Amino acid sequence: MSRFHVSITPEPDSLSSAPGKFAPSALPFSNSNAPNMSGNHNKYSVLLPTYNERDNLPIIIWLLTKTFKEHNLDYEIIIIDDGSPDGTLEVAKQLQRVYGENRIVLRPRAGKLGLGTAYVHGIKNATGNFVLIMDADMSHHPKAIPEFIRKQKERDYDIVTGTRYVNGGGVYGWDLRRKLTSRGANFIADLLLNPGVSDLTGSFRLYKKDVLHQIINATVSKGYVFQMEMMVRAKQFNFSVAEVPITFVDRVYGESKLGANEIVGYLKGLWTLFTSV
Amino acid sequence: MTRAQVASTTLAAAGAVWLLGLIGVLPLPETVRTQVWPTLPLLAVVSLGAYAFINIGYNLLAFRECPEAYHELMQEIQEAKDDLRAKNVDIA
Repeated sequence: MSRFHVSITPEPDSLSSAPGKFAPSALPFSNSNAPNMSGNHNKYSVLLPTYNERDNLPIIIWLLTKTFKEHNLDYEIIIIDDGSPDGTLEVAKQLQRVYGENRIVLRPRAGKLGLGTAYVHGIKNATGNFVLIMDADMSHHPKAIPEFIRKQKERDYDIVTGTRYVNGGGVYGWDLRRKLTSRGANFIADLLLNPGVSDLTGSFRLYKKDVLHQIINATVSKGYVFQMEMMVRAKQFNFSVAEVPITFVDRVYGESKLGANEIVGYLKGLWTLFTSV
Repeated sequence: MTRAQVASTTLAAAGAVWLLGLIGVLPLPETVRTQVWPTLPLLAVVSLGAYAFINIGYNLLAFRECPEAYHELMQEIQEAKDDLRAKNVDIA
C-alpha cells in the first residue's frame, strides 16, 4: 500500500480543474475505504434556509466561497428561500452567475414553511456526503468550517456542533438580560434533558448526510426548538457528537427576536422533549 | 422510558421512603425522625435553588465575549461588498 502513496501538494484549483494526474478517478486507490490517503475527497453541502436575507446573503456566500477555496474543499451551497418578499431570490440568482450553478444551488419554496421541511427540501438533491447547517445572518462565521472538518476527522464523528460557551467561543452583541436568558435556558435544558452538549440551541453544525436524514425524519418540533430536538434525538440514536468553539456575532443587520412568545415556546418545546424522549 | 417517566418514578420512590421515615417505619433515631427528617424536602428544593443560582451566576460572570470577531467581520463585510459590486451583484 505504501508503495502507491501519492503525496499531493494542494494546488489552488486541483479539484475544479479538468482531470489531471491528481484527479480522484486517476488514483489507483481512490476509494472511501482509504480515509487517510492525502487529499480530501469529501464534498460539503451547505444548507442555507433564507427568509428576507437580501442584505446578508451576498456577504455570507462571499465568506463561504472564500473559506472553501482557501482550504481547497469541494462544496455546494443550497439556498432554500421561502418566498422572501425582499428580493432574496433575485440576489441569489446574481450570485449564481458569479460563482457558478454547481456551487450555488437554488431550491426555493412558495411560502414560509418552516425550518425542518426546509432542510428536508434542501437535502433531497444534495450531492455532498457531509451537510453543514448554519444561519444566513452572519452570526455564524464560515471561518469555523475548517475547524469543524478537522474535528470530524479526529474520530469520524457523526455530528460536530458549534458551541458559544466554551473556551475559544463567545458572543458579541448580547446585553446582560439576553445573557441571563441564555444561561437560564441552558440550565433548565441541562437539568431536564442532559443532552451532553454545552450549546443546545446552537444551529451551526456539521452532519454526515445520512445521519442528518435519519434525525430529521424523527424530529417533530418547529422553529429553533427543532434544533434542540435534533441534538436530543442524536443522543437517543447514539450518534457520536463533538463540539467546536464558535464566535457568534448577533444580528449585524435587523432586530433580534427574543420576546415572551419565544420564551414560552422554548419552555413548551423543552417540556415536550422531556416527556417524549 | 422517557426522561419524564424516569424522573417521576425516582421522585415517587424518594417520596415513599420519606413518608415511611416520617411515620416511623424506618429505624431512625428519635431526634432525626422528628427534627431532621421532615425538613428533607425543603432541603432538596433549597439545594436545587442554590445550585441553579450558582450555576447560572457563574456562567453569567464567565460569559465569553468576542469583540475582535465583530470587528473582523465588519471589515470582511466591507471587502465583500466592494468585491461583489465589482462583479455586478446588487449590493446596498
